[in-house]
Formats: sequence, structure tokens, C-alpha cells
Amino acid sequence: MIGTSETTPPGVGGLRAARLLVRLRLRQQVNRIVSVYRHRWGRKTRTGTARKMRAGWLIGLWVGVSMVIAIGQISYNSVVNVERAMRVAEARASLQHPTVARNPDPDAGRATRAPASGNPERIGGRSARAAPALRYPGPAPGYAWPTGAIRGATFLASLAILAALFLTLASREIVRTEWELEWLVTMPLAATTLIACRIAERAFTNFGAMIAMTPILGVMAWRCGHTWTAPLYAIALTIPLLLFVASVHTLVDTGLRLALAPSRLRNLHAVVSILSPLPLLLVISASLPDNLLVAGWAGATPDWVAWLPGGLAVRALAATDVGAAAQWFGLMTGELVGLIAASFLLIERQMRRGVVAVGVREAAVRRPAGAAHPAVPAAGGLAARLFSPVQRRELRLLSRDHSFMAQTLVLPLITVGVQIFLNVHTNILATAIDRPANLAAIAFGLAAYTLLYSAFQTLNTEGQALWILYSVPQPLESVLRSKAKLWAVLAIAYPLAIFAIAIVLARDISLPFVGAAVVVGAGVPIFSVIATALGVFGCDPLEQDVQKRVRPTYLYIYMLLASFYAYAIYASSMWQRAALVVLTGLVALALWQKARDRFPYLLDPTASPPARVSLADGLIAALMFFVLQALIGLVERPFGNGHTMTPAMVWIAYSGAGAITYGVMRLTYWRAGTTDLPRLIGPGLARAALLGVAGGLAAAIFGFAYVMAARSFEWFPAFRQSTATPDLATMLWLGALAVVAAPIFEEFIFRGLIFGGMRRTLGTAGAVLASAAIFAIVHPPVSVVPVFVLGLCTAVVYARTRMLAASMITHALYNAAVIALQWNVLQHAV
Amino acid sequence: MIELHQVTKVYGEFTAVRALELTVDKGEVFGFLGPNGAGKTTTIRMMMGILVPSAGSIVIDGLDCQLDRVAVKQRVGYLPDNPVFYDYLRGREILAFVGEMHGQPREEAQKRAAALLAELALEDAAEEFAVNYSTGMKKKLGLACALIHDPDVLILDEPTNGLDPRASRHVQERIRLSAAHGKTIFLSTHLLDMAERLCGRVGIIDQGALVAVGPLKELQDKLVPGGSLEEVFLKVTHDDAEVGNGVMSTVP
Repeated sequence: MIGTSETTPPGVGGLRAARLLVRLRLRQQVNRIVSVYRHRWGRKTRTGTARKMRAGWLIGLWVGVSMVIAIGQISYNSVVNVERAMRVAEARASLQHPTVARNPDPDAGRATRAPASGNPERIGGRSARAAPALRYPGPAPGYAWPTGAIRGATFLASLAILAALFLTLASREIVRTEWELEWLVTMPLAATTLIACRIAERAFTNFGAMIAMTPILGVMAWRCGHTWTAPLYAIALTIPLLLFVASVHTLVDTGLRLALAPSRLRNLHAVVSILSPLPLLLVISASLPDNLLVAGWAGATPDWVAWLPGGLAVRALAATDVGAAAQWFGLMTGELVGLIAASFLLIERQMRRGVVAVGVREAAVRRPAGAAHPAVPAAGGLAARLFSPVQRRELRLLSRDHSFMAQTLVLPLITVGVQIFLNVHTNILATAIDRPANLAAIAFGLAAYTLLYSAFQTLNTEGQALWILYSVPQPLESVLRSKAKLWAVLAIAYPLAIFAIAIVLARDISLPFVGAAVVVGAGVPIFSVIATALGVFGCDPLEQDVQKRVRPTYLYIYMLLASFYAYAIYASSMWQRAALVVLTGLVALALWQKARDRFPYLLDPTASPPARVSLADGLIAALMFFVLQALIGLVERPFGNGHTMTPAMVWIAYSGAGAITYGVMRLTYWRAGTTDLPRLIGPGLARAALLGVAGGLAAAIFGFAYVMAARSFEWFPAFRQSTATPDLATMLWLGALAVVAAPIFEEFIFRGLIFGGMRRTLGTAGAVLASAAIFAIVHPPVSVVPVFVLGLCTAVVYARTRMLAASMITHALYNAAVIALQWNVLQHAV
Repeated sequence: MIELHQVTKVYGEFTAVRALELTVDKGEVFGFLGPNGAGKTTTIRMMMGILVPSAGSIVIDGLDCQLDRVAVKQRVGYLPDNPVFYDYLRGREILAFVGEMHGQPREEAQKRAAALLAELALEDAAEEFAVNYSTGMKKKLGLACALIHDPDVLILDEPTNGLDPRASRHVQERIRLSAAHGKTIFLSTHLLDMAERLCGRVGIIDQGALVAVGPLKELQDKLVPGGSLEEVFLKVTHDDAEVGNGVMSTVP
């Protein structure tokens, strides 16, 4: 009990207890970070699974380093921007009311200034070019900054402290069912010691708050002329601020835990988590150039804010005299100590009746008396027809779990809304009709973000209750597919709304606008599939620790793919766009197939699916084939005449790349023990060869007709004029490539792996069409149509005979016919 | 009805279940006994397709548990050892959801859910979020999930574990009722008195291997004539301390 605090047990002193607690918490955080990466290679029991990515720590390191750089840059830019904006504003004001300016002569102030005061002049000089008549204010007496800059910095510092406080209050700790204080209170510690320890422990392990405050204060110190001491000043100022944040955090969460039932607590947390990033977003938006809105707010900061901790911290940094700085620092610390003491007393008062969270049986509290059966069945008539049971359950969870809803549906809106609001002058919405790419990128980003918190997490929302899906007679694939569909529909609402608003605002519509909208519209379902599939690998629903349920590597892969898709939005030509959309679709299909193979093994930590040929293998092989060709070509180039590739070199690059790809794939399959490899020949070879010849003739006849039509209708005039007459040797090399090498390697990759992989998921007819499409898309636009037909013919031949030799014959015949035709045409042309 | 052929599960270097060979006939109540960590739950999870056997196969009603997952689950009701439910969903909603996932129309699923909740004395809690149920209530809700599609086979992992005496009796009565309707029941437990009351035949598993199987009476007569099931159990299973000593004494 807390009441026994008068008799402090002699066992453990307050300081030691605080140290132990801080150490425990730090250990917890280290364990959390390490375990995310450690379990990839650490545990022996995991050897059965091949799914772990070895390069995870590298990606983590990369993300970490880029985050540090980004935080530094944002802090620096926001301080400099606000400082500059304030100077300009002050100069303008002094131009209008010369008497208002306190210090019209900049030199007067400079005399009393600390060393390293060159920076302000540089800023002034740069802006002076734009408005030469302005006279920039010198620093205020006793300070390194003019009054306006101090005011701006006060605004920014207060914002940073607010950001730290909000981020801390929004921490997920409060929604966890277990409450650490309930456990800590059983330790042999006096209540006062316990509270002090708790505050200290939370202050020194609050890295989020440190990141929000310390860099900004450090940059301010630097800008005020402190050099190597700048970080020391920043840290000295941060420590009392951290203690203050921790005391408010403890006060709020203890009070809420004691007063609110968990369900209310979760919903409150949802609201707070939506509002909490706002100060941080303002700090970030201050770092963008020419942000007039934030600058305006900074200028309008009322005077009394200067007497709050943020303002006092800025004055301590800006004071040129050490004694004055110490005074300001002392005043800030005193203020904070007062606040901390007040919260301390309040916490003590909160805990006077013990520490037991209310309402463990929450639903008993919220159950409406009498109404045993809410009107679900009545309202569900339409829903039952529109949605599958899984989708209905998902929607119900979404409507009840406010933090889920906030994170998935509201947070993205707020983030984007604030940015659009803060950048009103760029008016991204109004200009969207003429230049739709930016708006389309935002719309797609919103949808992709929504999917990250919904479709990607499909397994995590099942969590430990996944056993239910294993006990019902429904394939997991159909359950996940119906979830992916649902989320695609929900996520596409954002782009639709954004495009609709743009159309309404502009009262106009254009072809590029429609094109961008189509790309986004196609992207959302594709990324719903990608997110669901990656979520299968990236989520560990059985993991107890919520933090570890998502493997960050797969999140990064998802983000990488999403940013790759942005190329499709920004791509200039229709053809490029279509190719990127189709390619992303293929990636989605390949990932889905890989995920589907995993379904029976999801809950089994050791077993992994038997190795099978998959579409993903085909895509990897195709990529490897193209990259190797380029690489070998690069190596060969210096040996050629005049740094151009001779036909023989092209042949070597092509065949070498094909042979290496073939070898690597076969080796991989052999090592993995893959059984369903594409075979070259088999029983009934003669009949198969005959079929291959028939397919080749069909494709060749179509190709012939196409070339004739293209020539007579001048479909590709540029192509026709640019062809030079090749000599016999060239034709022979090209012939060897087209008739021998190409059929062998391309059939292995496109029919053996890609078509074979697709057939597992799409069925034969779908796989014939889709594999022909990808085969066509990797060829130049001139030959897309006949190559698509060739792809159809070879796929049909391979599907019928199940022998690569047959489709190789088809391919070789077609290529031979086209080469002969070209040769003939060119001869005549000469 | 249930056939296990040489079922083996290996985790790295640890063999959780080794070459299990077992048959349960139609209409039988089979007790799967064993000390903690013997491999009972692992075996049951393999029957449900949650874990994949390292070797061997499990056939229920002529259907392979790995290859015909969907068909198997139409015939099987499953109660896990520690049923976890979705947050933010009420007991009634979860039960109706499971019914619908079994292909029942919405109204029927809700009707059945209501009936089962009444039968298992969960009516009062039906409108509460299931995550807040006590252990016993969760277990009963799990049993309701297993029964909602009226399956021919029930696979119950520790059905009365964590229940108070009244709830435990309640669950046992429900199991007996299913048995009386000719259902095949495979239940794992380490509560010997329950096995004695319910099961016609038992199998005892220890350190992953089946050490005794047969009708209770026969086992008692054969192994410890005149002894109780407890004595049989103690005789055929290892004592951890003993094993430790044994290893110590044989290793020089």
C-alpha cells in the first residue's frame, strides 16, 4: 500500500532505485530494437525458415542515418527560415514606421555582440538583393538576435516543447492492458520516491522528446554565436524540459488510468494520436522555404509566451552576457521545478487511494441496460449481401477500434490536409488540371499510406485469434483476398475525392488529368494486393510484443515499391506508364503467389513451403538476364572498334547473359530441391516438335502480315528510314542470335519460369495472355504486336506439350522468318 | 475416423513428436494424456493444419489434414488450449462470425449462436467484448465455436483447463452429450479424473512418443493390476528429475 510511505524501508535508496529503473527501461528499449533484427539470424530454431532477410540491419542502418540527417536538416532549416522571416518582417515594419525600430543602426548593436556574428549579415545581404531599400535590424541590446528573431525563435522553441509533450502524451503505453505502475507500486519504495523515480526514468528514456527539442535548441545556440558549446547549452536546457514533460506525462497517464475504462482510454488515445503530430508538423513545415503562414504566426506570438519555458530558453541562448544567460536559465529551471513540484503533489494525491486501474471488464460498463441485442441484424440486410463475413467483421472492427480508424483513415487526411493548407499559395489543387502529376502523387500517396495501415496489417489484425481462421472451412487465401478487396475499395475513396474536388474547383478536365487519375486508380488495387502479400511476410501475428509484430524490412520494401510506382505517375509517355503499371501488377501477382505458398505454414515457426517454380523467380531471372547483358556489354565495349558493339559482341553479351542466368537459376533450384522444373524434352517429342512448327508458322504468318501492313500504312516511318543495310557477317551473327540463342534463353525464362509460375495462380488461359503481355512489353514498341502474338503461340505450344523444345522451335521459326523478311526488304530497298 | 500415421514434428534439433501411430474409431471418446510439454498440443495443432508435420500424415474421415484442409474443417470442431479472440468483438458476434465462415446463412448463424450461448450459460456475457472474458468464459466460448457447425469430430485441447469446478462439470456434461450423439471426440488433458469419467480409450504420450494406448481398464490391469489411472500414468511417463539423474549416471 502507498499509505505506508512514512516508514521507508532501508533496503534501497531513492537514487539507486531511480538508477535501477532507468537502467531497466533502457535495457527494455535496447532489447526491443535489437530483437527486431536479432531474431533474423540469432535463433537456432528458426533455421527451418528461409524467409528471413539477411540484409535487414543494413536497411535499418540506412534508415537510421538518413533519419539523423533529416532531423538535423529540418531543425536547421526551420530555425534559419523563421529567423530570416522575422528579420525581413522587422525591416519592413521599420520602413513603414521608422520610429518603431528600436535600433536603426545595425553597427550600434554589433559592437556589443558576441563573436561569430557574421551569420545575420549574410542573411540580410541575401534578402537585400530582393528589396534593397530595407534596413535590417541589428540585435537587441544584450542579445545576439534582434527582437523579432527572438520572438520567432520563442515561437519555434515553444512549438518544439509542445511537440515533445504531445508526442509523449500520445505514446501507446497508455493503451496497453498491463500498467507498469501497478507492478512498481509493490516494490519496497516510499510513494514519493516511487513518483520521483518514475519521472526521472521517463525523462531520461524519452528519445522522442529529445529528438523534438534538443536539435532545435542546439541550432538556435549555434545561430546565436555559440560554437562548440552549442550542444552543451542545448543539452543543459533539455534536461529540465524533459523532467517537466515526464512529470506531465505521469500526471496525465496516472489520472487517466485511474479514472477511465480501457475502452474509453483507447478512444481518447485515438483522438490524442491524431492531434499530437500537429506541433511537430508545424515545426517541419517551418523548415520549408517561404512558409508565410508559419512565419506570420511566429510574428504574432504574444509577449507573455516569452516568459514561458520556451521563451526563457531562447533568451538564455540569445543573451550575450554569461551572467544574463545564467539568470534566464535559472528562471526557466525555477519555473519548471515549480511545475514539476505541482504535478508531483497532484500525482501523490491521485495515488492516495492506491493504484488500481478501473474497469477491467470494460464491456460490462458500456453494455446498454436492457438492450441485449442491438439492431445489428436489421441494419445488416444490405451489408450481408454486399460484404463477405470477413469484410463485415473488418468493418465492424474499424468502426469500434478508434485508434485503428484514426491511424488508417483520419491521420493520412490530416497530414495531407495540413500540408495543402500550409502551402496555400502553391495551390496544388487548382493547378491540377494542367499539371496533374503532383496531385496524383498526393492522391496515390494517401491511398498507399492507408493500405500500409490496413491491408499490410491484415494478419496482424487477426493476431493471436488467427486460429479461428484455421478452424473454419475457408482457404486462408480467399479470406485475405476478400480483405484486400475491401481495403482497395476503402483506400480508393481518397483519390476519388481528391480528383473530384480538383474537377469541381477547376470546372474543367483534361487528358493528362484523366491519364493521371487512371494510373492512380489502377495503382490502388495493385498496391492493396502488394500490401496484403508483403504483410504475410512482414507480420508476425503471434508475436506478443506489438512493436515486433511488423518486420520493418517489408515495410521499407512496400514504401520502395510505392515510390517506384510514382514514376508511373510522373512518366511522360503513355507507353512508359502502361509498362510500369503492368510491371507493378506482375510484381503484385508474384508476391501474392509467394504469400499464397506460405499460407499453410504461417503459424508454424519451423516449416517452410516446398520449393516450387514461381512467377517471382521468372521476374528475377528476366531482370538478371537484362542486367547481365548490359554488364557484359559494358565490359566488352573497350575492345570494340570505335566504342560500338560489333555484332559478335552483341551475340556474346546476349548468350553469356542467358547462359549465366540459366546456370544460376538451375543451381538455385537444385540447391532448394525444387521439383516442378520446366523440362526441355519428354515423351512424344516428334508430335511436340510438329506442334512447335505449326505454332511457328502461325506466328510467322501474322508477323509477315504485320510488317507488310506497317510498311504500306507507314506506321513507323522513323523506324523505316533509320535502317542501314547490314553486311552478310552482321546478318549471320544476328541470325545466330535470333534463331539459336534467343529461343533457348527466352523460352526458359518467359515460358518455363514466368508462364509456368503464372499458370499456378491464373490458370492456363490467363497465364497465356499475361505471359505474352510481359513478353511483348520488354520488346521495343515497333514489334510489340507481333511479339505478343508470338508470345501467345509459344505459350500455347508449351502448355500443350509441356516441353520447352517445342516452344523453342516456334520461337526460332518466327525469328528466322522475320530476319529473312527484313533481309529481303533491305535488299530491295537498296 | 482419425488416423495418425508415423506423425513426427521436429523443431531444429528438438523432436516434439516422434512417429506417432494412432487410430480413433467413429463415435469414440479418446483421451490423449501426457505431462506438460509431452507434445499433446503440437499433435493437435498438426491435426488442425496449424503446424505442418515434419513426417507422416494425419487422416480424418478419409481426408488428409494437410491436403484437404477445407474439407477436413467442415467435419471438425476445434477448441485450442488457450483460445484468443478478436478485440472489440462481442462473444455473440464472434460466434456468429464463425458460423458464417462455416457457410451458414446469417440468420441461422445468429440463431445457433444464441442457442449455444444459452446452453453454455454465456448469455449474460454475450454482449461483452470477448477479450475481457475470464479464462473459463473464453474456454466456453471456444467450445461454442467448435460446436456451432455441429461437426462429426471434436478436437478439444485441455477443454477444462482453468475452469472452476462448476464450469468444468458443465463442459464435461456438454462433451458427454456430444458423445451420446455419436460424435467422435479427441480430447487432450492431464486431468486424470476427467479422463476416467469421459474416455473409453486413452493414449499416453511422453516426450513426444506414445507410451501406452488402450481402453482404461485394460491398461490398468496390464500395467498396474488393481492400481488407479494415476499409477499407470506415473509408471509410464518420465519423472524429469529421474531422467536427469539417469543421464548423469550414464555419462562418465
